[in-house]
Amino acid sequence: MNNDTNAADGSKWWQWAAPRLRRASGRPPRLGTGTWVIIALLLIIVLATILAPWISPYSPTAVSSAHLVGPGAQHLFGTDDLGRDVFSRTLWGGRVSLVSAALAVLMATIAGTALGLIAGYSHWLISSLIMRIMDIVLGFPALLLALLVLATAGGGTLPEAIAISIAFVPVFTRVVYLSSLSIKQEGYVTAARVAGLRAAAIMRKHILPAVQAEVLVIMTSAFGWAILLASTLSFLGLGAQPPTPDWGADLNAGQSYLVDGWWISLAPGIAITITILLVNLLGDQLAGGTRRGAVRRGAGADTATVLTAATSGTGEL
Amino acid sequence: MTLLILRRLLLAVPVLLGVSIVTFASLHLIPGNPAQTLLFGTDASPQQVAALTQQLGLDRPMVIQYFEYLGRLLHGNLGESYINQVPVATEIAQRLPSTIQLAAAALVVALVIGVPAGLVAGTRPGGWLDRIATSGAVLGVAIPYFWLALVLVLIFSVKLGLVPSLGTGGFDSIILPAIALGWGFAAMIARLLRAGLIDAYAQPYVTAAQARGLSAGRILATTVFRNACGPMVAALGLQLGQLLAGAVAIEVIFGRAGLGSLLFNAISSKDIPTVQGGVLFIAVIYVALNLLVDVLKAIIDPRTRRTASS
Repeated sequence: MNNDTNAADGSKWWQWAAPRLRRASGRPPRLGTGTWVIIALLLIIVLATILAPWISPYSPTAVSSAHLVGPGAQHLFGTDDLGRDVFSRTLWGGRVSLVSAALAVLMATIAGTALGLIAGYSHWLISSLIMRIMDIVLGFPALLLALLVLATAGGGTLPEAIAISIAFVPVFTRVVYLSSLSIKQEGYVTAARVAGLRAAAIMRKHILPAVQAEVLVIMTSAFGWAILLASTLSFLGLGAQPPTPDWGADLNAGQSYLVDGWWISLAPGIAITITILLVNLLGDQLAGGTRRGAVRRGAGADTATVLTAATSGTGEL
Repeated sequence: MTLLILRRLLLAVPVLLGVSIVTFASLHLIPGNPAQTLLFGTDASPQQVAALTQQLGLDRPMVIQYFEYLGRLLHGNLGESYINQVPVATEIAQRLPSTIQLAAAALVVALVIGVPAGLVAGTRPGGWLDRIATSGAVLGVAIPYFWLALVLVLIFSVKLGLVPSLGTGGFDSIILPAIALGWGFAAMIARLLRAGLIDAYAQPYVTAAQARGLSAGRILATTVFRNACGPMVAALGLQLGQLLAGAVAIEVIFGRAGLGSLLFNAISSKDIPTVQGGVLFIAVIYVALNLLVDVLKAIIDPRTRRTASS
């Protein structure tokens, strides 16, 4: 625990969540108008990818003789080297990335939260074993770990999701673990224990609800990074395989046509950027740490943060 | 201080062991016999495959293979590439300078953009310069670095013809990869420095310094900046490790022969020793940088020494 006091400390990708978490003190976040606008925009993107079969003007894989036609009335974002409609491919292309990112975050949330709860409420032997294993996972940069897993498991949506989720599990585990350490000192937990509730029931009914808000904020932040990782993997040819339309893979395909068809890689790139941007903004909003709010309240008012503590040092006990 | 370093060194040992187990195990879980993969397309007989399997030691129990692997590691031997029989350590040594150059250049880009932006934003939070810097930072972290690389190549190589889009030649060939790789990191630095500055300005010692009539510049230089640096310094070291990993995509795009592209090719060709060696090497650097950052933090902020070494 002693390391957790040297808190003001960012590490790796999730340090982005750190300023946000400062204000996520166990309470469910209140949603303002801005948050709803962001959620609505994200929903539009998700709906567009879900409804792609009905709203896309062309089939994403239909080859035509109109090779490398620039953006225009016929083809909104132009066509690629095989005459496929870039707009249609961009609509479809979110499916693989978004699904594997969502799956990855979901798996990491479940596994990480469960491990964190167990580590927080178990014998020190079990908890230090879990936390040391998490240290090892954190010993790898996320992309490298994903590459390693994908090299082992082969391509596909599920292996890709697993590959991404493994890198995220320790983050959830550490945050939940550290929070549950303090929560289990609370009177109501002692009361529940005295009343004879089993450990599993205490974790589920008393500790889990108390860490929910934190978990939600990390989920949002992790989702943005998961989309980036998923598209990086497909960009490197380790995710979705051609001719499946995918933002990352299509970016890679467009790389060869920068001279004659710069529009091929433009649309998927913008799509990824906007999606990650919205997800990140949502994370900011959820934590209630909007820019102005933080300034007004003085961002330094509450320094000891859950997440920075969780990710700094080695998290040792 | 020495105690802190010793403690950290000691803690790094199990992590490194774990990292070596993970790299070893994961690569041995790959479906398909590497010997088969190696001889693919050469119509080797099953006997030849079996002979090669034996020669590579792949028929022995996993645990024994691991300890042999570990023993060789301790002698600095990372094994030989399956593809061209070159020692992996040699290959890494050849490729390392290019990747270090790239990471260092990206770091320079990140600092040159990120620190001024963070300073401007953090000293006058809420002002219009802060808004520009913060919006830029939010956008900077959302743009995928490999797409940014393509956009940069499109604008500066294809359209304007200012810099080459490929290769590891002179100084101008590193500009675009460094910007692409460093941009997101610059955004991160700006944001962390801004948050650190706002934190530091809220402390009572700033009010005390103001009451004593110190100028704003002096307060910033003597106390605030040092205190605000903590999160940024922590990110610096860790992010260097990430830069090494992020170099995979950038090196592939720009055709640079570095560690990242070495790893990428090795994964595609199932060259197990090279993948193991490369991943292990980067993970070790990563752990070492963590260690370095802890020490650096203790130097910058003496308060962490007490808590960290107690």
